[in-house]
Amino acid sequence: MRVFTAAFAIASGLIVLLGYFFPIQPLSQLRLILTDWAIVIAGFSVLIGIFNLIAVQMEKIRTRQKGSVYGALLVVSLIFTFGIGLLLGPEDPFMRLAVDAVIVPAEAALMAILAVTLIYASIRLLRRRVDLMSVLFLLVAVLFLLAIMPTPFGPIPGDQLILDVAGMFSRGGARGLLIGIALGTLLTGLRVLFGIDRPYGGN
Amino acid sequence: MSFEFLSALAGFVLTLMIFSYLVGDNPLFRIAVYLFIGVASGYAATVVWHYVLMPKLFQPLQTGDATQLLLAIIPLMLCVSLLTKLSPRISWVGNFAMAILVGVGAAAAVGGAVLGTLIPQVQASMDALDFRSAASGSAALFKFVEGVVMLAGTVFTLGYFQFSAGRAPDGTPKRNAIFEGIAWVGRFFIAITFGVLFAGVYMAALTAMLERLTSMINFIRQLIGI
Amino acid sequence: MADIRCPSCGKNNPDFLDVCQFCQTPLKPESMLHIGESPVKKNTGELEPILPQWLKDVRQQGRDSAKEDAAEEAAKPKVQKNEAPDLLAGLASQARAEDDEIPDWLASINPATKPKSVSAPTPEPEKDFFAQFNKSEPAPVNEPVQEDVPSWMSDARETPQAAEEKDELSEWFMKASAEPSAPVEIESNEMGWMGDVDSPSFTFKEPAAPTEEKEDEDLSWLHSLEDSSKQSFDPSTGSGQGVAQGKPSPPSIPQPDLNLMPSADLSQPSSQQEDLSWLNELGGLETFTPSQPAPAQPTAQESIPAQPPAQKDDLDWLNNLGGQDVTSFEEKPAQGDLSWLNNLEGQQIVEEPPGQVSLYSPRRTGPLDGKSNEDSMPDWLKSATEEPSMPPPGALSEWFRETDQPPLSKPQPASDELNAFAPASDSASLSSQDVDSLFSVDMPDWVSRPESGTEESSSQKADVQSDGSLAPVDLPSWVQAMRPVESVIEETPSMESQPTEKEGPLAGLRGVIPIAPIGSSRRPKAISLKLQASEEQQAGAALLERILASETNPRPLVTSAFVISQRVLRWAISGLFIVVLGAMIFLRTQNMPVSAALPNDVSAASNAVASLPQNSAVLVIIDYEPALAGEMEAVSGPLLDQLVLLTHPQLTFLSTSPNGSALVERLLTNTKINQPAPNGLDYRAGQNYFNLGFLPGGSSGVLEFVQSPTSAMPSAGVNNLSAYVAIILLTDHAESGRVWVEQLSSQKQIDPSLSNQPLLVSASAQAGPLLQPYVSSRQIAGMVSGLSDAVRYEFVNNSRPGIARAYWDSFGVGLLMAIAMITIGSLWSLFTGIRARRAEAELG
Repeated sequence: MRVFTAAFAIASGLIVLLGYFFPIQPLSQLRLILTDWAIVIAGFSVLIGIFNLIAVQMEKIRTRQKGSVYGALLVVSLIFTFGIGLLLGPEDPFMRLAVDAVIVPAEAALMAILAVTLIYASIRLLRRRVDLMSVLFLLVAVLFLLAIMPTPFGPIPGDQLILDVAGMFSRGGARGLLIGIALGTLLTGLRVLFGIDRPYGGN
Repeated sequence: MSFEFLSALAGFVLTLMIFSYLVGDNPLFRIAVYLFIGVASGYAATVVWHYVLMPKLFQPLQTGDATQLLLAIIPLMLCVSLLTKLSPRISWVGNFAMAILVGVGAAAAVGGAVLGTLIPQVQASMDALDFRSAASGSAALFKFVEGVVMLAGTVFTLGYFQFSAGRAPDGTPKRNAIFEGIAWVGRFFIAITFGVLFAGVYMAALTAMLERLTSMINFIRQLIGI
Repeated sequence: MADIRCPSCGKNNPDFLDVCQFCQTPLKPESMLHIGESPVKKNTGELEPILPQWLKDVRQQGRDSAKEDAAEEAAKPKVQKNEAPDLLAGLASQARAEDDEIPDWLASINPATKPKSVSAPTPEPEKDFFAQFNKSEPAPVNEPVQEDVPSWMSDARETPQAAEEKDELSEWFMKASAEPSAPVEIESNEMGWMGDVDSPSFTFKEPAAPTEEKEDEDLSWLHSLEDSSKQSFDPSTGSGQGVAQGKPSPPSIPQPDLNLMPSADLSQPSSQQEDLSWLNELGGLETFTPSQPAPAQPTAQESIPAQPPAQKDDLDWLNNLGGQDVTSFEEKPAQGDLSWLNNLEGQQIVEEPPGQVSLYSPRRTGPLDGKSNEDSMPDWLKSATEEPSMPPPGALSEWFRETDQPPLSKPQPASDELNAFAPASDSASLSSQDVDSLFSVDMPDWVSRPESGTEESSSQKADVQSDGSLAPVDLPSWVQAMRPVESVIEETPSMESQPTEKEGPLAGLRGVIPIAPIGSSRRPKAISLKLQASEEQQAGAALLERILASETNPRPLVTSAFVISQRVLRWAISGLFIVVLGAMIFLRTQNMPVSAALPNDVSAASNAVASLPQNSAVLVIIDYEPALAGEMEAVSGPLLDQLVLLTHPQLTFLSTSPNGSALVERLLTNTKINQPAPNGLDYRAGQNYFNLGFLPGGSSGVLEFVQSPTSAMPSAGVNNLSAYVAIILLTDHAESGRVWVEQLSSQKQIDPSLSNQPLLVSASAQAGPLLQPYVSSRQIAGMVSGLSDAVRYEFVNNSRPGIARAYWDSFGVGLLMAIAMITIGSLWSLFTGIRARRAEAELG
């Protein structure tokens, strides 16, 4: 059975990969079908994940674990929202109300807390770790903020130089990071296509 | 009450509940977070159902074309087999669907990495040193310097993440001296890059805070009529 | 009493102990026998003075009890008792099973004592070996001796008349007593069981008084035999033969088979010596030279015809012994027959009290002082008196060492040792009746014991001691070494409280097996199982316990000023931000100037938008989360506003996150694109813009959409991506932007029609730096990154829509506060950190 699953994965991956280099029609059509199936499966897996979330919270409620009350609130709100959405559709004003009233404010507020946390962490950085890299890190961050910061008196002198120099170095480093990420993605993908790694349960 | 007022009121209350975390962890914060997760998950399920499953899975079943029907049944069967993943005993049945998903995703990632990042970025690194297109001498010099710096940053940053090492006489892992020097220089580029990233994250978070405070103040103003 | 400290556990022990009573470690190193060493043989006789007092007491008690028993027994009439079967019943049963087997000589051995033995237990089975000899049984006497008769008795199958047999035996013993007796050394074992035999049918001589001369003691029993035979001798039956002078003849002493006597030295010239050859063979009587020729004793093969054939066969050897009247027997000089017995006269003779016929006297089991007349004693007696095998010298030396004990007295008589080893149980010892029936002669006192046992023994101790009938027994050293350790002995009842065994081989003995009441506290002291740890070890163990206890104890939370300062710092930062920024927002200030110079990336984006055709389709990808919706709306607003204002495109919105599809309306509302004029651009859903919804699958979904938008999103309405004149990517994280960039770039290499399709990116400030390389590589045509770029772009667009400008002043203040807090806080943290590390370094 493991051989069949590995064959499925390798075959579908090779078909899609070859379509990048050989845009012939049958291959492109097959590639399109496979990617379409992958989209559907990915979408259904989102539902599976949401169902698993419900199961976990229900288990916490059943076993009366600590925080099970919050789990009950989660399950109730989820089922209610999904039910309304099934009936009315995602474009319904009620659903938009859920997004505008709950989802956006909650996430935005959490992101706003991050600003305080970042300032607090940067203040305590040199207390825990004093080395050249830490000092350089904080110095660059401060200079970059300083260069961007508007003043009532106009931009500070040398802000553009700071931005250019910092940008130059950051672009070099970012490119190195991107190339490194791409190389890692390439290696991981090839391991899957060669059947060395089988994250789909073939091992 | 209009939806806008209810939306604003709910947003205001939720924002306050989450801001209460700045004082300390409390039940209000937990209620707000769990409520957010539940509503977001429900909305996501609604979106998946309406925008993915219905048009791509169930509606093709209503077609009369056999080919289309067959092409619709197979993903339906694969999706149903995914349900077996909930049971450890029969989870092996969903391995086929996962195999297709993983295979296609790996191929897309490999193709995009090679064709979308590696080749263009390497090309760009070489093009950065081409100062012949520069208009003036200073511009050319600056361009050349910029290219060198970017190339150096690229190389040194990649060298920093090269963790292959040999064994020193005392048994500890030790990298090559050349790689050790390259890594040491690469740390400077990484530190500068992360400093810039840190500043960007802070600015994004600050903007989010400004947006929330603006929303709350506008609600208060609307509430008090000013 | 001095104490000895154990080298192992450190506890004090009495000095008389060899091993520690707590941990069983040898207390004295010199008492231990080390590897390679061989035990040193020592003369136990030299150790007599150092015997512990308790041992002396026990031995004395034994001697006293033996004397008392002997005296009592001598005083009591011989009453034949029907006792329980004893260990010697086998012999009796053997004889009983085959009545024919009862040799005639046995039946005729006891002619004198037969009348004294009240009644011969004829019908009774021979439970007692000695009882059978008390019978006036012509029948068993006349029975022919069969083959299974003990071999030592087979040679003496003669059938003399019963009375004649008795007479012959009496005569034999008389002769023996008349002869000089050689010193007899009998091993303690042999004498022990015989000493405790309770045989009322026999008359025992009083135990011999403890004397130094062993020869006298050895002959006492013979003398008693002689006396008894004389007294009980019936002239009608003929004189007893083989009875030593002055010694009663044991009426029913079994006579061993001469032929089977080990190393029987039949060198005696006279037939009398041959008669006593069995005695020679008992102990190797090489040196036995009877002064008188022993009574004629035919050889084993010699059969003497008797009147009754059976009788004659049984008593042939008796005829040979003492010169019986039976014609078949050769008369032997009494003196010669008992010459070896005469030698025994040199030993101490225990005078028997009048009226008693004690055939045997208690004998010393072994000389402790080593004195022994080895030259004059027969070999078989010598073996009893020779130095026994030595136990480990250390054990003996320590066992005998008793520095605080009073000087040792004389060796106790044998009866003491006999009492020491007396059985603890009050079982019936070998009854006197059994003994009598066994031997059919008058047994000496030490052979039989009275029934009462302890009382008699205790009462007879003095008599025994005084009379000397039962000589004190000098136990060999190896026997003494086998004594239990004192700690166990201490727990056991004293010898006096121990009952005397009534039957069995331990009959008459006391205290051989000490009584240990079940369930009582008198148990051997248990070995301490407690771990013997020194004080240092205990202290270490206690310390370890404290350490372990501290590990499980919950540590108190650090509620010091350090933690409080952290909380206060966080509160201060939060409050400062909220208050200052809130004030700025509330005041709606816009005093911060905005630079009109656009960054290159922003300018490129603006130029790309301006170059787009009119009323074209533009794909807008909503790829950010609701968390950064405010920033993205502020950043993407100017770009979309310019796009809409300049080209009036048909916007197609697509989202790769589930919540992104819900942000489309919010975006268009906040950017006033879908607001009705004059406030907005009056874009309407379904006409001017379309929301395709959510595209799952990540890179796979993007790949499919890039290949065929209709296949991926059926509501897209376009078959090729090239139908879109531009693609605007709104993203808040570099990962999703990278995926779109990669897939679009790869598709552009396949589809050349996509080569002029610009990709415009509106990125969050956190994603911009990582997407800059794509801008440098021209994979991204233009990018607006962060609020700073948006405010400038907005400024250039005549402040439309104005979201970025609304945040700009507060944004500046926020940046200023961050810069100030980071700078001041970092310097303060650096200073305090250095000071703390210096303090730690000083403390060491």
